[in-house]
Amino acid sequence: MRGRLGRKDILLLGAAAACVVALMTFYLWQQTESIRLGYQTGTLVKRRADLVEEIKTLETRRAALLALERVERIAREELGLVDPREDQIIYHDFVFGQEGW
Amino acid sequence: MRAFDPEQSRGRLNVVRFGLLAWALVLAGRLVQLQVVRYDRIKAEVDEQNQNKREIPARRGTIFDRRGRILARSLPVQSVFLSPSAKDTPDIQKRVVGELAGILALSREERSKIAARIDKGDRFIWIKRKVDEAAARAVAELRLPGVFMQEETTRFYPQGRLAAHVLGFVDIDEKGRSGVESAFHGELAGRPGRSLILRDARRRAYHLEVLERAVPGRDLELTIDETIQYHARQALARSVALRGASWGTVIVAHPGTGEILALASIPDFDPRQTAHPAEQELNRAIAVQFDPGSTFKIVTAAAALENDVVRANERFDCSRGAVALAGNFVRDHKPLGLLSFADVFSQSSNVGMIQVGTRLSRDEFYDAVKAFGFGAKTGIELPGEINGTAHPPSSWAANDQAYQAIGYGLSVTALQILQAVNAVANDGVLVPPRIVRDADRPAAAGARAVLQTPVARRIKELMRRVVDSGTGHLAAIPGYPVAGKTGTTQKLDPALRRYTSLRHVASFAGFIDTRPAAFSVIVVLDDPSGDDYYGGQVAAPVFREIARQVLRHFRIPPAPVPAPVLTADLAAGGRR
Repeated sequence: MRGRLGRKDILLLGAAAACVVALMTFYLWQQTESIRLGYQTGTLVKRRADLVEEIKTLETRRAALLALERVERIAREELGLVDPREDQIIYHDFVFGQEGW
Repeated sequence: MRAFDPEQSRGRLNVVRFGLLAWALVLAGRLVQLQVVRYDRIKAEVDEQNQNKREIPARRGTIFDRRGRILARSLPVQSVFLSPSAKDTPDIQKRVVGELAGILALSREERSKIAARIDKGDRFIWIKRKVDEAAARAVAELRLPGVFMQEETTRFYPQGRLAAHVLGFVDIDEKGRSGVESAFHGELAGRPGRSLILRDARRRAYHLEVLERAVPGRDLELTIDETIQYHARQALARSVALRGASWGTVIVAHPGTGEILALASIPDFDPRQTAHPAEQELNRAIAVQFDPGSTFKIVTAAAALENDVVRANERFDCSRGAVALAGNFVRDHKPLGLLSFADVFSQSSNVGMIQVGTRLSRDEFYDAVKAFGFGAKTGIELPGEINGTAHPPSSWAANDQAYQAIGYGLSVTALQILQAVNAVANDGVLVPPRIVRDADRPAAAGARAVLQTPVARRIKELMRRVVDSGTGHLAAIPGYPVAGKTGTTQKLDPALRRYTSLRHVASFAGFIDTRPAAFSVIVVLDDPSGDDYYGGQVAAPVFREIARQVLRHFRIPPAPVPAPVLTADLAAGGRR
C-alpha cells in the first residue's frame, strides 16, 4: 500500500532539490568563473610580456635612430654643421688625466 | 481490433532484447577497441588537439657597450610555416605557397625547395623565417589553410657595421658564428624551457603551465666605447679608401686596465646578414700577422736599456745609410750620420738599431721578445686569435737577430704590438687586453712587470721624441703629449720568396703620455698605393685623427699655452 507524502515531506524534498540545484549552480558558476579568469589571466600575462617586448623593441629602435653614423650624416648633410675648431671647444667635466698634466 | 497475443508479444520482446544486447555488445566492443586496442594512438591525438607542449625559447642576452648602449639585442619576430591537414592536397599546398610568394618575396629557388618538401609529404615546412612585421600581418589576414606563424627572435644590431669584428654575427638559429657572439654563445644563448598549453574545443588556450622555466641568456657588457669605436672605424675606413690600402685595422685601448675601447678592421661586414665573404669576416686586428718593422724597435730598445748594453751619450755610425747582412743590404731611408741612441730610435735608423740589437745576447733578446708576449696569444676573448711567430734562438740563422732587431723575420698581430706599447705606457707593467667587462675579474688581471719603471719611462721619452721631432711628427696634436713609433715594412713576395720594395705595411702605435696614460692606439694599413707608404705618412695621421676625437670624448683639455714672456724695451720704454 502506497503512503501519501505529507506536506512536510514535500517541503523537505523541495528544499533538498533546491539545495542540490543551488550547489550545482554554484559549482558550475565557479567552474565557469575559474575558466573565465584563466582566460583573463592568460591574456594579461601575454599583454604584459608583449609590452615588455615592445619596450625592448622601442629601446632598440631608439638606439638605431641615434646611431652615430646617422646622426653625423643628418648633422652634416641636412643641418649643414661642421667640426668645431680647436679654439671653439670649451672643456668641462674633465674625466681623467688631470693629475699628470 | 486485434486481440492481445502474449506469445507474439514475448517474441517481439525477445527481438528487442536481442537487439539491445547486440547493440550493447557492439558498444562494448567499440569501447574495448577505443579504450584498450587503440588507446595510445587516440590519447596522443586528443593530447595533440587539446594540449600543446611547446619549447619556450630562451631570450638571447643583449650586448652593451661600456656605457650601456645597445650593440646587439634579440627581438621577437614571426616565422611562417606550412602544416597541412589531411584534406590539403599537394596542389592546394602549392597554391597556398604561390599566394604567399609575393608577400614574403620568395625566390624561385625557395619555392622549388618548398614544393619538393610538399611532394615528399612533409607535415611541417618553413615557408619563410623571421619575416618583417608588415609581411606577418599580411600573411595573418589571408587566413590560408595550413599556414601558421611561430614567434622566434632575430638578432638586431642597431649600429650596423660599427663593431662588426667585435660583435660577430649569428646564423638563422641565433647560433654565434664569430666575434663575442661566438666566443660567449653558451652564456648569451641561455637554456630553453617547456610549457604545457591546454585548449578548449575551439582551440582557445585556457591554461598555461610552465613545465620548465626558460633561463634567459646573460647580458654582456663590453669594454668597447660606442663613440670611440665610431671615430676609429670612420677614420680607418676613410684612410683605407684614400690610400687604396688592401686592408686596415685600428685598436684603441686603455693601457692601465688592458680594456679595448675600440677595435675595427676594414673591410668589414654587416652583422645583420647571416653570411659574408671570408675576406670580410677576418678580424685582422688579431688574426692576421705581419712583420712589424720599426714599431718593433720599441722592444729592441727596451731590451738594450734593460740589459744595460747602450749608454746615454753613445753615438752610432749610420753615415753609410746601409749595412750588409750576408750579401743583402739593409738601408735607412737616407744616410743619417752619427746618431745618438735617442736619434737612432726617433729617426728609426735600421743601421743604428741593428748595432744596438746585436749587442744583446740571443737569449737576452729572445727573453725580451717573449716577455712582451710575442709568439703567443694575448688571450683576448675573441675567437680566431693567432700566436704570431717568434722562433727560439736555437732555430735562428746567423743574421736573424739583426733582422729581428728592426722587426723583420718574426710575425706579430696588431694587438700584440699594442700590448707591448701599453706595457711601456703603463710604466713597464703589461696588462693583457680584454674586451668583456666581467665583475668577477679584477681590473688588471694577469698583469706582470716586463720592464723596470725607469727603463719604461726612458722608452716613453724616446717615443715622445719620435712624435716631436722624428718620423712620427704627423701624429702630433698641439697641446697634448703624444708618444709613438712609426713602422714601415716591406712585404714578402710569395712568388719570389723575398721582401719587395713595391709593397708595404705601414703602421703607427702610440699613446697619450699623461699619468696614467689616457689611451693608446695602433693603426695598420696594408699595401697603401701611391708614393706615400711610410707609417709616418699614412698611419700617423690616422692616429692623430682618432686620438683627437678620443681626447674630446674624454674631455681632456690641451695643456694651457704658457703666457708669452713680456720683455721691456728699455731703450724705448725708458724714454717714455
